[in-house]
Amino acid sequence: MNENNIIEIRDLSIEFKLRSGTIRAVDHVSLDIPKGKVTALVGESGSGKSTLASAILNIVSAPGTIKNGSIFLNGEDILRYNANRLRHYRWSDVSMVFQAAQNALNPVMRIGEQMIETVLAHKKMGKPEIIEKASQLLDYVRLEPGRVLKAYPHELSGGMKQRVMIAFSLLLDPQLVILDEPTTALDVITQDYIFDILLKVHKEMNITMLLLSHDISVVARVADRIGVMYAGKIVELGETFEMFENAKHPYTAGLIQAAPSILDDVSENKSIKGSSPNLLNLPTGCAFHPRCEFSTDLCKLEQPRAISVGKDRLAACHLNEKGEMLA
Amino acid sequence: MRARKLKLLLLSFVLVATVVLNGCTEDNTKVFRDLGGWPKPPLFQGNPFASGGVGQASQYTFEGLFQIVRSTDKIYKRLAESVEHKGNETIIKIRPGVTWQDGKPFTSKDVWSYYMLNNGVEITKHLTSIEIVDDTTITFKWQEPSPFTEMKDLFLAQDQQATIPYHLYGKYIDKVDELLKQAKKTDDPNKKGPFGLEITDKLRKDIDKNWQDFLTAGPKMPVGTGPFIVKKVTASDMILEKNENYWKVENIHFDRIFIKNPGSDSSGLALLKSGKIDTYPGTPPRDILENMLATNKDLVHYRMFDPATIGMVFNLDKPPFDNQKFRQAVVYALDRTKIREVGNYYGQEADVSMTGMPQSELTKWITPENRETMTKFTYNPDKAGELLTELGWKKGADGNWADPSGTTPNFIIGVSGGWLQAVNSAQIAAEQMTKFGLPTKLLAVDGSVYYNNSTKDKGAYHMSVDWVDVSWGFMFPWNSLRNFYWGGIGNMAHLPKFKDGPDKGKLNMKLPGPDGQVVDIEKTLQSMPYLQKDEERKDAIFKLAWITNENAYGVGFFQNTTGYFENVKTIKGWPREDEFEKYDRSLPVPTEPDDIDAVSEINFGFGGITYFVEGRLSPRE
Amino acid sequence: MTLVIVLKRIGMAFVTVCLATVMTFILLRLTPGNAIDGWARDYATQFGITLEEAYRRIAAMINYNPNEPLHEQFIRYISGLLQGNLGVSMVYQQITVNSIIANAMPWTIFVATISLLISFVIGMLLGVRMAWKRNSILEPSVSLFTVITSAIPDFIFAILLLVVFAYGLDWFPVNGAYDPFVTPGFNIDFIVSVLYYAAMPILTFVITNIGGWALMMKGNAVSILGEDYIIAAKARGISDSVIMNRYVMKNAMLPMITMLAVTFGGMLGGATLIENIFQYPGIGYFLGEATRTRDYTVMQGIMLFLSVTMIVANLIADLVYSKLDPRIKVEG
Repeated sequence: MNENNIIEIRDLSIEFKLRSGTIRAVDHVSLDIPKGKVTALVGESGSGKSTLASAILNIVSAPGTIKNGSIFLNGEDILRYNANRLRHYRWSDVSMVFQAAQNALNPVMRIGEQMIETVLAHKKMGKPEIIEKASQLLDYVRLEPGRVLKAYPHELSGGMKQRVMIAFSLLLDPQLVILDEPTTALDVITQDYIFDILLKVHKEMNITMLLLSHDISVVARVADRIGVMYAGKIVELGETFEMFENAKHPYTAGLIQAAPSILDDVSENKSIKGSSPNLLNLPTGCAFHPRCEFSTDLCKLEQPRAISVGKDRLAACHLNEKGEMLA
Repeated sequence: MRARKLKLLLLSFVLVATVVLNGCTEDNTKVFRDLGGWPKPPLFQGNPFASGGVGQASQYTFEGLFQIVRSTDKIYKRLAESVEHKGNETIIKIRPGVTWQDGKPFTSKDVWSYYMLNNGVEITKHLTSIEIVDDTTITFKWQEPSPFTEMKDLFLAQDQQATIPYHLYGKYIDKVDELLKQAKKTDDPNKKGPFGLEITDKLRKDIDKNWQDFLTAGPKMPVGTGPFIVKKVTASDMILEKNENYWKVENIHFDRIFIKNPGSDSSGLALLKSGKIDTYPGTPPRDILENMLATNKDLVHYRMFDPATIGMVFNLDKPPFDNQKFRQAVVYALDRTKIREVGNYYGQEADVSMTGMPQSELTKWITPENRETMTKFTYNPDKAGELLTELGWKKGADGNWADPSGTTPNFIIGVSGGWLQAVNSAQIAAEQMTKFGLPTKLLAVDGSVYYNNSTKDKGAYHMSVDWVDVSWGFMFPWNSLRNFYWGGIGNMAHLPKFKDGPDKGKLNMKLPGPDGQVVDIEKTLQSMPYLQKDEERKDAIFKLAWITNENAYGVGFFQNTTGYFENVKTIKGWPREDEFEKYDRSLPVPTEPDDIDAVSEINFGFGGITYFVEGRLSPRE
Repeated sequence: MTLVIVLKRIGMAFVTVCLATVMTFILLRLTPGNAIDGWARDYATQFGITLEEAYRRIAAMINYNPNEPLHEQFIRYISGLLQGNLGVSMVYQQITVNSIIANAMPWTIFVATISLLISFVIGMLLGVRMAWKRNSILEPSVSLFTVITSAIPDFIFAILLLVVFAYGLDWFPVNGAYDPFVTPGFNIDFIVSVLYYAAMPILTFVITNIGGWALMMKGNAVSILGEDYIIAAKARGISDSVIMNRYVMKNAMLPMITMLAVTFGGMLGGATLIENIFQYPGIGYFLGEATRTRDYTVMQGIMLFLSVTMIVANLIADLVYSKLDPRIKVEG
């Protein structure tokens, strides 16, 4: 265990048993989340990033089951926690801002009540103290605590709820906050605003973050490290800057090219051809090969292993094995 | 959680209540446990004449000067000590010392009060007045011509004279007395009302209004002279206690009567089966009856004739039923054994079509020679076919008969839907007629529209299934004959009547009798109560029965057999004890005269609570 | 929720009541048949009078003139209603419809409320547990139970319970509302007796209603369990029992509040058969009795009363629902 890492995920597989077959949403994934940094997971929807994130809290929802692997927090495998330990671990060690933050709050309880309830589920604390803490956090995310605490979720706008959730996630001073598509369904201005806040939180409170997004350009702004997921696997992992400089996987390259950039001409953007793979019926060999312009016969037959392609960099592509670097 | 606590609380409440009260039963010694219905509180009140009356409490609470056993015409004296018929007067002495249940003495004024208010009863049409001689003597003055003596007794015995105490209803009695005094005597039979008075429409209205006021003025609990006093009435139970001042209290061996309101026949049977009641009226279908006796060995079932026949009348207004031969053919075409087996297994089949009197009464009133002259209508499909052929009907290749014009009929039998016995019988009759080649459908309609449909205008049905003769009240056949000819059954048969003229509404039926001479049915019926000689009465009964049979106005399916279950373990004193074993506690209709009397009287509906008043019943210790 | 909106709601309920009044009046006048025929024949035999005389007397006894024009009957009825007077029974002349309802209603409300509460609470707890533990034996057993109890009419259950517990085991009384030997009033004997006698009717209603509530609750709870805020609550470390009771139960229960009001209204009017079987002197019994005797005034009085109860129950459910669920706003 590297003490610089908060979380170390080892060989994690998560399967969903459906009527039509079994889907492996996360396929033998290993990932470290270093302390004090913002790690991002990027991938299309269905790539398994949200499932992976939910596994960190051990809240993979039915019919999904964790088939194998471990998730270490300070050397202890949280997947082997008993129910009580697990309950205490959740939110106080790792909290999460959900993808649909709008729906992550109980509609029939006031925000304040839910916050109090959450704190009390973990420790003994007076209600006034909880309210004070909550107010600070709400203030921090630039909300009016007096109004928000008394409000029902439906009385707040989408952006407000998102900020409530951010404040909520910080309530128990967790070591790690997972942010699952924190800005989806928000307008661009609000998105910016939220990211400002997130960066502020990260910097001022020194909170480790795991950011999940489908948009590599969005995460580039905040993430120190990026993992790219495709069909349940991490196909490339590395420092943000280096990755943008020199992508080691055709899929990463495709994502970067497809992303709008202030520097580039919009007309030059190229989207990746083809569509996301059918998880029930994955292509043989490299799951990306039908969409890959560099695919060879080997790609059709054999799955590429993730190999080191530089300092703290991993990529899973046959091109790297042959030493053929991408342009 | 609050909801869970509430749930637990409620459950434990019910449980505690169950445990606390389980096995908590009242003292059941010297109790007779009956069943019956009554208007539930708040509908219950003490006036027996108001809607719903006092229900099952009536016979324990109220009585008359006499008690008639209406299936045998045997008359017991109750509040009357003696009866003397003297010319056109009948002098009745009331038992001295009888009191109402509230302690007031029962006097001849109360008897007079009964007839003043309840002046629609049959006897008042034959009286000129009722006079109070003294507190215990009352004289009935008859009009001329007056009914024959036995008829007078029957009229008197039909009434429950101790139901309208003057001290409770004086206001209404005085009012009606005053109103009746305004009416004039008349000799016109069409205008004659009670006491030979002509009641004008104006007067009628006032009398009705007074009656209506009387109905709403009842006490909370009934006040009669009977051996038991109503103490408590709930929706499900009634409790009566012994009237310690009853005039024959030494005969009453029970301290209490419990009456259970079962709500339905099946609940009643379940109560009986589980030993929760001591008596149950009726004869259920054979399998149920046998099951009852097999599961509860304390029960005995007595069967007895009902003085009434279930059958079917033809609608004379609907051709071809206006044709005598056609009607006879239909009677021949019916296999009444099959109908009886379904309708009432223990019923009594007839060999006549219908006579206006129950089969069991024929031999009592008609000599064997005369019986021989009455056509037998036992099942004979060939004979039915012959009769139809004679009428020019032809049987087609499909097996259906067609009338002379070539049309195959489609007949309808109407029946009141809620009455299973009748519906089942009618169903078989319809099937048999269809099978015979006269396609017939059954129409079971709601009881509240059945009678109106059947009798209105030309009538909605070709045939109606109902009681075709009923002798309720008393057995003398004039009763059932007039019920047929003048009553609802005659209306269903659409018997010919005068449409206008002085005799409007009266029967227009002059038909050849057994000796070929024409008989005027209306006149014969009218004169019957006044025939002083027994032979004259028997002759008139024979003529009417003969004519009814030959004309086949209808067909009696079976004379109903009713019955009573009695619990002989809890109560002793029931009849025919020596025969229980022989018949395995399922006693058939009695044939010995003594048995007939004894069995009839256990039926509360026939003989009231004679078994109690005569001191025959007592609890088995 | 402003006062105006509440008043609007009440106004609408009032209009519904008016419509119900007109409808019951007209529909009853359209039903065929009358009870005079059967009644007259009984009356004639009971009192030894001729059929003709019986007809005449009953016509005089009945508080109804069939020749009175409809609009006059209606005006008479309405003017009575405006004075809070439902009229006098047509058959039982000494009794007003008001007093029948006043006597019968407490019994029915008593039984209906208790059975509804018990079945609702048990059904809810079962439903939530069924949704929570999808693979336990609970779900198939409750489903089977519901199939059986909803396929068999409730009065059959009533008879079944009677046969087993009253006639057979002798644990409960066969019928009635209380022991005839106790004195009605506020005393412990009477209260215990009332509970004891009500146990079987309550049990009948509970058995026949529980399954429906459980399945409805399960359906709601399953969809609630799929909501993000349940997973979010789990992630927040909220315990399962709190999630089940405060999150799933409360949210799944909300849509059932309206059903609760409707069912309550239905139980008041639909108890006729059960109340007859148990000879329970509730409103259903008297409605049945009035229907049998074609007692129009009692029928229309009780039916109107029941529809008003139903409308009021719905109104209350509406208002309460919006109190319970902050998302719902009462709209005009």
